[in-house]
Amino acid sequence: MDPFSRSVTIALADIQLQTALDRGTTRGVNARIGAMAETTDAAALRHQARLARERALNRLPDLLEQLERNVVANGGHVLWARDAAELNRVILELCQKHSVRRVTKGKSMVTEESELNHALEARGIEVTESDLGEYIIQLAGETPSHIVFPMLHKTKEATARLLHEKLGMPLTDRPEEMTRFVRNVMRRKYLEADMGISGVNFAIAETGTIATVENEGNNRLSTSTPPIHVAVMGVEKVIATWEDYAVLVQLLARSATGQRLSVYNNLMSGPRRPDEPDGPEVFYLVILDNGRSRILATEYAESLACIRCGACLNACPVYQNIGGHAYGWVYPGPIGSIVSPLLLGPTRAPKLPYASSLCGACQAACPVEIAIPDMLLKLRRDLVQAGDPTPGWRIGMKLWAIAFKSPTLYRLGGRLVGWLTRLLAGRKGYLRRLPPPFDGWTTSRDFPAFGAPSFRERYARRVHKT
Amino acid sequence: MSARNDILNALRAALAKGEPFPKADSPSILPVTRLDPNEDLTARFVAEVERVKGIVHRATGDDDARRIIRDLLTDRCVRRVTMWDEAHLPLNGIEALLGELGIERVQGSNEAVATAEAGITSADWALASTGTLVLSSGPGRPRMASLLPPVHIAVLTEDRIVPRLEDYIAAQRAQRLGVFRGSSNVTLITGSSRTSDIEMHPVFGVHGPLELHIVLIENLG
Amino acid sequence: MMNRVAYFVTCIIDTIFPTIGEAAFDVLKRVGVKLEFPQAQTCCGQPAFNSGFNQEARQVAEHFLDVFAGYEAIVTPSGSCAAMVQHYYPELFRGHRREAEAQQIASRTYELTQYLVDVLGVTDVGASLPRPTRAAIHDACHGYRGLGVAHQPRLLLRNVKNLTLVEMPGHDQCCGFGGLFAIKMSAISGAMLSDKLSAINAAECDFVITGDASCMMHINGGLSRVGSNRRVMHVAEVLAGRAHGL
Repeated sequence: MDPFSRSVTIALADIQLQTALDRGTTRGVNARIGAMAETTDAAALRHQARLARERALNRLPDLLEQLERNVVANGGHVLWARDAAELNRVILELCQKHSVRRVTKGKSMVTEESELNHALEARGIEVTESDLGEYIIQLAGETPSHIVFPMLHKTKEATARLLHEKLGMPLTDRPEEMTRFVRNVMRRKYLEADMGISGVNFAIAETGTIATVENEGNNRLSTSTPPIHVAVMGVEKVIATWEDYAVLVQLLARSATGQRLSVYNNLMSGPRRPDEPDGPEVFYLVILDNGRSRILATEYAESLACIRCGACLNACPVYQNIGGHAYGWVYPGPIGSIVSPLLLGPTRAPKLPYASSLCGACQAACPVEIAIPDMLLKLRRDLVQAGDPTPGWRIGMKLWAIAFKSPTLYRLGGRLVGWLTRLLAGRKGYLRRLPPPFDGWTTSRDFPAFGAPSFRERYARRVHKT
Repeated sequence: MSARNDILNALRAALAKGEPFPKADSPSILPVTRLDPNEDLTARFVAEVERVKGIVHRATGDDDARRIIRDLLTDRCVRRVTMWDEAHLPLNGIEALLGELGIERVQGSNEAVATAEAGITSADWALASTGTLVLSSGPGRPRMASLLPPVHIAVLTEDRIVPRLEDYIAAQRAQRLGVFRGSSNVTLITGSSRTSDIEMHPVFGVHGPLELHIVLIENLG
Repeated sequence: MMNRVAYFVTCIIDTIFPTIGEAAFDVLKRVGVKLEFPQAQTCCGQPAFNSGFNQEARQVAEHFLDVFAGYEAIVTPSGSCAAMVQHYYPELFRGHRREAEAQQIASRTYELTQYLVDVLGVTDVGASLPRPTRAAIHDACHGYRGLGVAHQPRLLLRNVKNLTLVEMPGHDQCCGFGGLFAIKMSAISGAMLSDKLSAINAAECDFVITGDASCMMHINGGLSRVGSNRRVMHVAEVLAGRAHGL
């Protein structure tokens, strides 16, 4: 069995995971639907948000240069990383330069791409994820399973047991008590940290401002308390104007959690000014490519418009059933099925483009109108062109095309197969088992015997009668 | 070649065949939240703040505001407070009030500020349609006052309320976006610190303040 | 050449569910459509296209272009096949010598209820069921999200005598069919199907109505497997007043 199918089998049999997914995704979907419905005009706003992202991608290198100029003018530094390894190298060098021993992290998906925590820990630097969910995942030695709700795969019961075992929290089934417990643990970490590392939700080029979005306050603490703040962003995160920020940040909140605005929207323009009483003394912005410039040149460019709200994950019936870990890499769900093969190369995630019924729920949920099913189809096409499916399927499809472009072969084939299904189905009208390669169908459903005679034969008889 | 040039060159090469998205030049003009043009902004602001578990205290004037702050501090047995300088608050006499109550004002290092049980700030603006406070950092305006203490008290006058985020941005645009260049940090605060990480079940009071109190002073006349 | 309307029955309905083919045909005839059935028709090419075999899909789609050239409208009792032609033919033939033809055909192809309501303005086909019956709708994905087929079947079905529509939780949630997805990813598809079966079994109705025979086949196959007596019927059967087993 391939790794993807193995993960799926495990996920589907995991009752705890199924419970957690069911509770979480249902809440997520309902929250988004309610929050989008009460806007001025959901469809028009999604289009406006989409155009804001398109406008940025059209001018990406110019905007990045403008962003860099303005970050420097604000007193910050800008560093660049071509790939994941270089990102870790750049950050390790900063740690060395500033003698950093303790780091707190606000949520950042790009540093998951480079597995930065491992790289830092390997050099003896203590890294603490400060987002509640990320922290619990870190304690468990796991990876996030959702872009916005990293521990969506965990029930509250499992969370309580983990906090009890690792940190001695008295057992409780109340999320309120667990949250309060972690708050107290984390307080010291912020004050002792030498460096805070955060992600970036939007980078506004015209003023060199980094925008982060959060609810807990951990991001504010990670970016304000330690003397050094390092923000890490993919090249695609830059946007042109503050007006674009206004629409994007609101649709992000509504799509991700159903809030009108997230609790803390932090807008950071460089380090603390000389006359300011607090804030980091040094600010670095690290801009990562890691395959994104390659995507920009292709028909998959719109995947770069994603604002990582996670709405497509919650809406996806596949995600709802298998959860995030089965997708095998940083970005799960429908958008992950596109981004993972594009960033890693198609052969590293060959099953993901097929892991969709193409139902379109993802596209309907997307605040920036990303045509996810269309891109999945294109990825399948690319895989076929690269010779992915087995020779059996390839020959089968060739034969199918020959038969289905010839009315005679189609008619004869239909009669033959129909006769066979009726023969095998017997009186009940259903087949309990199909032969390979169609046996996947009958693992959980019966297959009907073909009707007789076919519509075209019935039609011919009707015409004959009149 | 430097990483910077490599990345910018790769992006330019990717765009060399033409922009990937034609016709993407219409600006963002449609605001997101619904707001009746005749709607009372203060009422809407109060309702929105309460939705996100903040508490609004309406004050009829400065004396009333000081009374509300005094009650908030004494009810919670607050011993230490961190705050913005009085020059940045819309009313005076807070330092005197602290002295009167025997409350110590802490400032300076994060360690010191972290001992405060309440933080007092003002806000540059408030956004009615989302129940949001806008705070910018600056001299005498520490970020930590709205972040580290378990109780955050924000004092502002009613005339600071604008309809939406979009109106705030438009006002900054008219000021050539100066605040985003001059302040290292602008924070939009919408309600109490919260998380939905455990089964998407909302819990209030995570790493940020557990309580958010907004003292809203009525406009004169 | 104007005023000629072609009936595209789809390969699944033609071979597996011919009575649905008759039902849709009769409904269109009843409302006065001058309907023709081009007998050389086969398939729209979707099975290959959805699997990434664009070349093979294009071969079959070219045959579709040949068969349906010159018709004012092409009507099909399938949201999925209609979406394939409307939405994906222009994409499939991009840069191809027959691109213009594909675009024309795409703009003239309609799903059954879309054609009745949006083009003809018909909201009552004069159907009635033998006795009072309650039914829930399963909105098949490609018609619902791909073409916006949502109010059309509801309008038509509300005017069927003896039929009461009830809304089912998760009515727009995929049943897990997805063409070869049901075979290649049968475990995930099976889990999605199981969610759908629970919703159907919990719904307070006598049967379920949907606009795609493929989804119907998938769900009914699941209901048969778990021994449920509930069944899904095609919207055309109900509009033709044929509700088998009632």
